[in-house]
Amino acid sequence: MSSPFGDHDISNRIKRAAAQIAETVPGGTFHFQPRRRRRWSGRLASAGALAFLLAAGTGFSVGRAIDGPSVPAPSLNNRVVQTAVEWVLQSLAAPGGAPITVTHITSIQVKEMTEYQFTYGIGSAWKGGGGAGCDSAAHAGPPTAAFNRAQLYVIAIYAQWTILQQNLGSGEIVPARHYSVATLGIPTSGLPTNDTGFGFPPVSSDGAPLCWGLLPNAAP
Amino acid sequence: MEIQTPASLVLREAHRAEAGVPPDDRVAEIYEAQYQRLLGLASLLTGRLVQGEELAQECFVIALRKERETPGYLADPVWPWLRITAVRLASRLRIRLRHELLSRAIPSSAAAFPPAWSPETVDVIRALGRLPPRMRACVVLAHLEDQSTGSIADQLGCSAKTVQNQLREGRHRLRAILGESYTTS
Repeated sequence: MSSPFGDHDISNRIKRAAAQIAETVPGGTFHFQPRRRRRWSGRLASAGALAFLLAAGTGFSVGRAIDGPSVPAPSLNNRVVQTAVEWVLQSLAAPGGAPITVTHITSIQVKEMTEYQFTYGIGSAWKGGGGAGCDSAAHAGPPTAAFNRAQLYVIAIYAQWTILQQNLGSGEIVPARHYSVATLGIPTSGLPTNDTGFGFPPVSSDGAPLCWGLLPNAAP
Repeated sequence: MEIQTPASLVLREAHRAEAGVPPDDRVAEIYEAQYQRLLGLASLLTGRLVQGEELAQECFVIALRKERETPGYLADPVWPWLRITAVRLASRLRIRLRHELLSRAIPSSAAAFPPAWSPETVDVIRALGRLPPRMRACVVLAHLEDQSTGSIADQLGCSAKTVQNQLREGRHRLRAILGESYTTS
């Protein structure tokens, strides 16, 4: 027996779903924590990041590991990159933020490219987890002006992360440590904002993010 | 019943700013009144509760920044501003990418659906999650927010024809995914 499922029924089901989501998730209260009231963990993380960056000197490398010869590109804005990394560490350490903390940084790599190069460089690989999905530029149309104007620093942070995970059996939340690489995309023109992209992409056998070697080292 | 004209709204907000309502309090007031509704919209726009929560929080971070820069910026009715902010955030490439990548970092069990949700709600959010982002936004704005094709086109920055096509295809896919037989209206 067929049941009517027209546009009106779609509306009803979507509205009921939205109402139930709103009802069943606690609203909480709005709370903004001023920067100066950061907890010690935030200060420790930012101090650690600064110490790491200062110790590295000009250690920002462009497209290669930090232990190799360090040759920053002329256009690389170290101040922006430094602030971006510090921002990530502060964000992760902030109370109420993502349940992820960084415990040790191994190295940092920075690449500069257009948003077009980034988007079509990683292709579908970061979504599908397969290296075969890299470099979809051949199938894409010519870059639009907006895509070409948007210049990004794509920063890979190789580190040990602690992530809270739920034990499937007991339901208990336990910290789990992972050595992984996180990537951060920021506009070259400014500081990180809420639009900043940060996350953990799939990695290849050499530990680098998938498609990393195909991404350009410097802006065209 | 008070008739609210744009001018009266502007004056009221100016009065509110002059009266010295701190921006944080104003945003807290909006948060308390609108957060859960925004979370419902954001979860459907992103297709996942975890991402919906993050998106809703981002909207309020932006709201706080705007209100601090320009006291009275968040004029009543504030819902249209929250809605369009959520839609724009959900459609931005970098935001989408971050959400997708962050969802990899969060174990699937932690992102499970709350047990209080009915199977129908789970089915709907799963089905929406399988639509491409723009198509999902078209369907949600049309069917949840009762927005016109022209209004959706304005919010998404595309043509009305594109919205019509996305809506037609989105409805078709939803019907197929939800496994329901239907009669076309």
